[in-house]
Amino acid sequence: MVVTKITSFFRGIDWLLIGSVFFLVLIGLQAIYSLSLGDVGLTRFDKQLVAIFFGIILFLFGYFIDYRKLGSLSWFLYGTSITGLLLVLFLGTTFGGTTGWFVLGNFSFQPVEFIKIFSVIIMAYHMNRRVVVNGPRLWLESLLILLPIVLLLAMQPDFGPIFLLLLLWFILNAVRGLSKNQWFILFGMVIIVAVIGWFGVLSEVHQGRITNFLNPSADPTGGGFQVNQSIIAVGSGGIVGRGIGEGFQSQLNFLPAAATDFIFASILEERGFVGFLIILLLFTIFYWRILRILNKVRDPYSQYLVLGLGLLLLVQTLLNIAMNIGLAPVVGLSLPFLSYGGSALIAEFFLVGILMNVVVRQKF
Amino acid sequence: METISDKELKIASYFVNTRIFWHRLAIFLLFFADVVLIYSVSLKFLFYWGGAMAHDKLIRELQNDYVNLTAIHSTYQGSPLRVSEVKKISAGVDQIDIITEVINPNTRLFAKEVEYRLVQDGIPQEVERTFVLAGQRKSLFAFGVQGSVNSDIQLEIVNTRWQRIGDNNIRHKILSNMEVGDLKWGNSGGDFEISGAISNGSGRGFWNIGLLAIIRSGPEIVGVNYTTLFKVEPNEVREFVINWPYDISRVTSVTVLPDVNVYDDSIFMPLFTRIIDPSGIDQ
Repeated sequence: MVVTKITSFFRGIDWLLIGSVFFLVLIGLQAIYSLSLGDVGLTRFDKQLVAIFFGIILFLFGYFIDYRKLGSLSWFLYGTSITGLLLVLFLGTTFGGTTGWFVLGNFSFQPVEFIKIFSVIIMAYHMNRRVVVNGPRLWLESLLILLPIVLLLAMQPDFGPIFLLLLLWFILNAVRGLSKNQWFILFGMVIIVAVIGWFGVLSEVHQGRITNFLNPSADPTGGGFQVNQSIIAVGSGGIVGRGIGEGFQSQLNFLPAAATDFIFASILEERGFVGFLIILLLFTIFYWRILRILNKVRDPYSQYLVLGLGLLLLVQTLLNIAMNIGLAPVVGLSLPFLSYGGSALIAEFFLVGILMNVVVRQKF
Repeated sequence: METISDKELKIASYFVNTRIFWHRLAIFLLFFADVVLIYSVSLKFLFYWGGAMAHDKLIRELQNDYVNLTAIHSTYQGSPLRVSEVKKISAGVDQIDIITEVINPNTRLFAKEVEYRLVQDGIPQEVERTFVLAGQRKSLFAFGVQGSVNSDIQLEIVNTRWQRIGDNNIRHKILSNMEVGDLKWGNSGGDFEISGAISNGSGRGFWNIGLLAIIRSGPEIVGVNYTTLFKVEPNEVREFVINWPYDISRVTSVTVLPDVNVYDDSIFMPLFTRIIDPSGIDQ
């Protein structure tokens, strides 16, 4: 009886979406394996396998729990997020200038990866409650809800998630349908936030990333080093790539953060243009299926949730690929399902679990 | 009949009016993003490929040797030393003096060590060493050699060590600042004697200066001799006398040539500095 129930529950699952995630994770694993060849002891590949194991558990959790109840738990999730960010500020470990990790032996945990998902749930829940109302008051309310999280992230400092959350806030408000005046007001708020961010929050290092993006050849060995090395890695892959473990840029450490933020360039160096097309196809299938879910959900909460979660990954994907090929500044965002990083992968599995949950419970 | 609230109506209106638009826009943007990414990544590949081709071409071009070594060699290639005819001068019973000239035709090559030997009637003699300055006609001689003027005697260059002289090297000009003058000669009590003075205008002192004296009767060389002057200081005029232990008649000309290896640092005396008082009085 229970087996039948579980089988029937899995029947509505979107296998194309799951399949695209499966192959993306597989490609990421292969790239991480290639980059782990010189690792001693517990390799990054081993850690990623462990993350996949926990990711599957979180996927099942996200899949089986009623996603509508997650909305009603939004204040609890909000409190958890604030507490997590406060704890990591005081008890966390600093890597690359960002105090954002809890380190437990050989493993580390980055709470912001889950807080991004929680923030989407909180925003979706809030917008659903005020679904009929739209305008500056709602925008300000949702911005004020996000503000403590944003400020705590700025104290780490970790500007990638801040940018992502503010962009989500903007898009979720914009898609509700705006009059001309409302567009002006919303853009005005964006400009004010951007100016405050640039002059009040961003350090010289982060400002340098943007100025280097605008003129990457000005300082090729300094600020423009990452992007220049990444572009060389992308270009040197050719049609079919140099082969596993044969990438000069990634294997010889010319390419910084080759397994995390710049794994796209690492993969293209070793797998070439063909590898790029495969990755692009898989991501396109993934987001196309999310759009399909979005088109079919019937209530506003589910719509905001699916849109927010989808955008969370989409923006990350586009920005990461764009920064790998020099089309966007280096913002410190990993590539979903491909980059090395246990917390991010587990959170992404959880996110996919919620999406599947929506698919199954909406029964379309 | 089910009643619909205002709120539900607004939601329904929103869904109908905007949902389809956003969905179509999202699908378009997704595939537009794909096109942009494919285009951008293709450009990166093409630029890298183009850059790699240009780099390969540059490397291939760098492997070409644009230095025209043939022209350089033809300009700077050294010519071997030339030996002129060996002259034999009777110097008593079964004894002869021998003189010949070794010519260095090169203006930029100095024969810093020349190993030579006489081959008398097919028998090689002991190896001697000398030097020949760039462009110099150097007289080589041997006194009191056993033999007659009819003996077959050749001078054979065994080995030559060359040194290239830079364009800015002016050492060869030292010899032109040495002048031999006041030459007098004549027979006196069974001896033949040459006297004269050498003026060292080179500005450098020499531990020793060789003097080669050649006596001619018409075009024929009738006598040669060699002497060495020691510690010749800068601007010094040193007198010298060169003797032959026999009379020499019908002498028409006498040549005395200074013989200094100007490329040998050890022949120069150290420079002594003097403190010059600003008033011009030497201390």
